[in-house]
Amino acid sequence: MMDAVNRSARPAGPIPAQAGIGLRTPHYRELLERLPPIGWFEVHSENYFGDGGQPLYILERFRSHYPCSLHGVGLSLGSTDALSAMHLKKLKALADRFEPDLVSEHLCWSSVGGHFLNDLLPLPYTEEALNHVTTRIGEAQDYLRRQILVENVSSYLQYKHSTIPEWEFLAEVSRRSGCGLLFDVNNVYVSSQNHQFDPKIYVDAIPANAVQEIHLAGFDSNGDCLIDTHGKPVFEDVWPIYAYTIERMGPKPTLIEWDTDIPALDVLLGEAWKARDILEQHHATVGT
Amino acid sequence: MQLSELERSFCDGVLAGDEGVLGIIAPGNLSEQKRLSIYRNNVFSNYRGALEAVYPAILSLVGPDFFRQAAQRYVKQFPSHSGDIHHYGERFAELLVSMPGAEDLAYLPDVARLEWSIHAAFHAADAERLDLRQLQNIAPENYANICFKLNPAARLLESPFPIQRIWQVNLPDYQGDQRVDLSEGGGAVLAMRRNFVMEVENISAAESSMLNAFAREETFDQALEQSLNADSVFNVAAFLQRFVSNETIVDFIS
Repeated sequence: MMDAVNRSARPAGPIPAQAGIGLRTPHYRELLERLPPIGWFEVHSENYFGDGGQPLYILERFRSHYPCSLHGVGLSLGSTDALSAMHLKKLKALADRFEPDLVSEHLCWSSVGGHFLNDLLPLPYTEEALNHVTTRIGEAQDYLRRQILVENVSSYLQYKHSTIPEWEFLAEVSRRSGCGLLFDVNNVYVSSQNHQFDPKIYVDAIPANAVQEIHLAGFDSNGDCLIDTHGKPVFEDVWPIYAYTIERMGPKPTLIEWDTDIPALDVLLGEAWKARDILEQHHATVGT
Repeated sequence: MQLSELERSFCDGVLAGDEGVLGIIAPGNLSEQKRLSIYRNNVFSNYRGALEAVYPAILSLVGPDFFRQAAQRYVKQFPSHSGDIHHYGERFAELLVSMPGAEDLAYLPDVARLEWSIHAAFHAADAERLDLRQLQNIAPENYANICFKLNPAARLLESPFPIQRIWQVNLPDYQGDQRVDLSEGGGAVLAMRRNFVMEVENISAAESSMLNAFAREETFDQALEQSLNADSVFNVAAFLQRFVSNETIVDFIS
């Protein structure tokens, strides 16, 4: 039943500094028929933690055409519980099988006392949390025998006793743990609106060479707060911050995430082409 | 405040409505209650979304409002224990047994068990098809001690209700007569993934008896004895032919 996959036929090497898209079930068939000229694709790791069946079969097929990235939502790096050995084992098996160029997780916590909230919850930005999450990223990287990228999350609250700005915290996590960064420009924008700071201060604080991937997505508003739903096109005010980020950091692999109210494939690709135009503009400007 | 204490307090604030966490949220242009309620809503809608994805027929049977109430009760009684949300919802049938308002829908828990089985089988390991000719190479006197192995993507259930029919007519894309005659009764059901698609079929008591015995790793002889109790004229050759060729039986140890 499984296609024999010739691993040497897979695109190898680093993910190009081009636009990619998140792979979602409603687009499987059309994507495989059209094989559009995207640079790469990304999947949520946990969607492929099963032992067999269609998800893994489909992933094999996409992997034979495009470079890929595994993006996890459930490792709970910031939790004070022990890291889940089962979760790490599944992630490692998936990475060993599909040889993704990038493996990423979030700078957040989602579980405590064995209870999982299955959401990306903000950490307090304290020296204690910095030490803790640095150690945990180290554990994950040691187990997976590879570097991981860590992504900044959107947040809807801040803690009274945080002592470090989020952008310094993120930069310091990367410096201390040796992890790469997945810089989510939409999350920076959402948090900057919810907590009233200048997003450029955030961008300027991030070490450019630690950033190996960028995320763009759309958000919703509940009237009081912007909510990171990944259910809309990238907001118009986010594109200039993205362009500023590329100008400052240089071109980086850029992913369009769209996970709820998933649109027609061409709408998603249209967003990817917008990112591609900004990346290409940068190449033209700097003469590369 | 230590990180572990903060996480516990936050978790109690989101799941149990505990207000202690409000004291550690920084004040701003939006109240602490409103900020926390965004996380409550997000967390709950993630759980509910996971349940809706696994239980489309239950959703269709009870409607979105009742399903939401059931999901709220489920979240309180059965916390998530995995960072992989696909593991969430295994015990939904238990919740439905005692859900107020569902007393007249006695078949709901069994339909929920079927939907969880379908979910689990959809992600189960792949298996190679068994070549019937391999069976022909076994000497008849060795048949008694053969142990047949079931496809990892096969699940067996029993119900006093016609759950295969109830499930089928309540899927979102089902077109056709939605009436179900509950008096037609229940029986044994096989849920299986074939070519990546989940199929659910009614099977006879004797077939169920054979397959369940194989699932318990009993020998062919032991399995056959129970099946003949269920059906004294059970045609075991036809049974093997059918369940090997439809990939329910995928291996054997002789």
